[in-house]
Amino acid sequence: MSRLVYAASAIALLTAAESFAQSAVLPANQTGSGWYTDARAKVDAKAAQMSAFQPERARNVILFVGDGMGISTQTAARIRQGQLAGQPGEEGLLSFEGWPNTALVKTYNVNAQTPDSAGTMTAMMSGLKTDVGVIGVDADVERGDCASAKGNEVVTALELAEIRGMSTGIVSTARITHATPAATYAKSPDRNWEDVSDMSDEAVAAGCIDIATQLVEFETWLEKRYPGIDVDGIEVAMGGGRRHFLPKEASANSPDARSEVEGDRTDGRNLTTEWAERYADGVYIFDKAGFDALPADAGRVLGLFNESHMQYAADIANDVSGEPSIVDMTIKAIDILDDDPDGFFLMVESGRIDHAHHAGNAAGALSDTIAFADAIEAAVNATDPAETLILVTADHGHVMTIGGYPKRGNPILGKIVLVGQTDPATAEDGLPVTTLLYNNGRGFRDLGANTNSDASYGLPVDAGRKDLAAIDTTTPGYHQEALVPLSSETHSAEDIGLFATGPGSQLAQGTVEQSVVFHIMNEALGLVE
Amino acid sequence: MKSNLSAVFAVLILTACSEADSPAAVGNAPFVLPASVGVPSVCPDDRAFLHARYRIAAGGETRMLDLYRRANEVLHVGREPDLAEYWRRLPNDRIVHTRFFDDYGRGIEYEPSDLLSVTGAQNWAALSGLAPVRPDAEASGEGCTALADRHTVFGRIAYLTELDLMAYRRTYGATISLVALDFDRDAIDAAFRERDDYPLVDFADVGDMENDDELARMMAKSFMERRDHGHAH
Repeated sequence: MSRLVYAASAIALLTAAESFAQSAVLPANQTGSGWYTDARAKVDAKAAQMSAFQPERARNVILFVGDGMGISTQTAARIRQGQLAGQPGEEGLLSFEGWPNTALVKTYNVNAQTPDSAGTMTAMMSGLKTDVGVIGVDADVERGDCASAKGNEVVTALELAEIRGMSTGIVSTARITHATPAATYAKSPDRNWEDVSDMSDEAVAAGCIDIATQLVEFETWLEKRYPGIDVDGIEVAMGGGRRHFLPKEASANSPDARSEVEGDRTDGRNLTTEWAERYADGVYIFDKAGFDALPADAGRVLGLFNESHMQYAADIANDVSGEPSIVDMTIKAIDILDDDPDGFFLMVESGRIDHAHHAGNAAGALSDTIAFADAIEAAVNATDPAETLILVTADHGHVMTIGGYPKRGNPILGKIVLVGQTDPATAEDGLPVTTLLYNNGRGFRDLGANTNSDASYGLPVDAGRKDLAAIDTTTPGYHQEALVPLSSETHSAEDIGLFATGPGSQLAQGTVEQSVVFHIMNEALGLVE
Repeated sequence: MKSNLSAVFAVLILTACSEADSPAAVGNAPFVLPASVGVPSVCPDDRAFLHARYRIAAGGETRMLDLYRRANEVLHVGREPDLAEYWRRLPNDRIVHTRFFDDYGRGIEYEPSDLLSVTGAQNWAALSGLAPVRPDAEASGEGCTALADRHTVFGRIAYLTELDLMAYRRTYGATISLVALDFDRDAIDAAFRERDDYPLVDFADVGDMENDDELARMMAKSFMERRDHGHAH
């Protein structure tokens, strides 16, 4: 046997052994779930349908999740992007919209027609749908009941990648303990258990662990769940949410703390120092200066750039100590992760599209969506398309609509001007109408140049029709009218898009359950044979 | 139901309007701050720490408001029953705002907003000294008791210039009067600490907490006193 043949055989044996180990870690409650098996069968059927299909293995997978980036958000952001470039707008595409492989994704949770991020991201990361509000556990769990989570935990693609020896990373502009990023690494019967102070005494006594602790102790807990495996932990975790990692003591404050006492933890633990002690090769950073100073050979980074969520893309200049952009973080994450010959798994979330929508501020949502598209473009440019599967999707949509009959090139944030007209049209009530509206939410606000979408929360709900004749609705601070008054605009139940490029991307097609996303990644990486 | 006093308070505290520019009435006697208020003739070294108690009166109703000031922090207690409001000024001149709901033992934390927000409600002088406008009249008196007193077409403003603190304001038939002042650092710290253990909800997360009925009631209560003044100045 030549050395080459011997080496190939050894690799094959090793791969087989790894695959066995991989499949062995999947619990029966996960592989036995109808959601899991159906989604797996869907991917197998798609592969079989393709006469020329050859299983394509990717070395790396990047999953981009635009939180709340529904189809209408994509369309509006696409038009906005073009108009900002001086074009009519409708003809353009966001960076990922031109990819050939796309699908529509059904987002409902097991117990909810309109889903939340916890249930949807668990579907994407673990291959089975679950209930609203729970993370990394199946639908047999009762939300908020620690005991019910025992034995119902499921394994995530990030964990399988770790076990496989790949490098792993998480980037989010929301708190890194928020539902979407948490579903990549945590198991929690309640998405709100971001630190120990969020949990009941009963839950703590029953042995449940808060989400921030699960991130910092990820390696320990994964190895404990599957004796015999040896993982090296998440290499990149960047986002907001510092408060959940710091003790409730002023002495632990970061230099740019916005609260007198920044930390929320009531157990006295400082998880940032614990993380630094755990990983000698790790660098903990909390501001833009620290980010910029990261050494080129940094092997591991924990970046917590804000006490809570990071800034909106349009508001980033207003941060006390400065924050990296989602583009900056994506590039840095890839730079750190792609040194691993075993490949990497990276999840990047644009978390604040969702928040701007909740606040009823379309301008903010579109601004963050465009920044998200820029990050995706940067990732494409920074990776080899022959070896990296990139998926772009959302967890759910929002109730923003694009309607009326505005003429081509009409400002997407503007009032409707009909074809052949120059002045805004009026509705039956004699008032002008904007192209973008919300079905429900906080309603109208004219906050001018204010780029903080959440500013409207300091003002009362004001739903219904308003006279917009003298109002510039294209400003960053304009909040669209809403029909139904609610304290916060809601998610929608409509399908969202899935866009794929790279090895294995051809499996993104048709209208699929959200749990299929996991199986596409699995197929590409061969995580579970 | 919004109380009259809540509306009055909003007008008294949250409106800058244009009183400073309004023509002054003439012929009124100078404003005299009662000695019982306890304003020292010599200001303490650290006047960034104070506790001021006010009486708000309108339409036969009265309510007491406690204002605590600690460097870049301000706490208002009593403007609404079971509600306390906290603001902290950040180094970049933005303000963090937290509402504490005593009846629920919880708080809602707002994202930092501009120092001079479009509502006028975040004017730091209005928050830390209850003085949305600083009267441009020349102050009389010396030291800590120096008082600028100005009549306007809407009423009257008296302002302790060395303390950057409203002493008296009358407008739209309502009055707010300083009735007590102290600089007890320990008591001030204690007032700020009182709600330290309240769990806080970031307002950006409200949309993901649709099943939290208590939070919905807190939010509804948040705006009971604000409905009359949503426009910018």
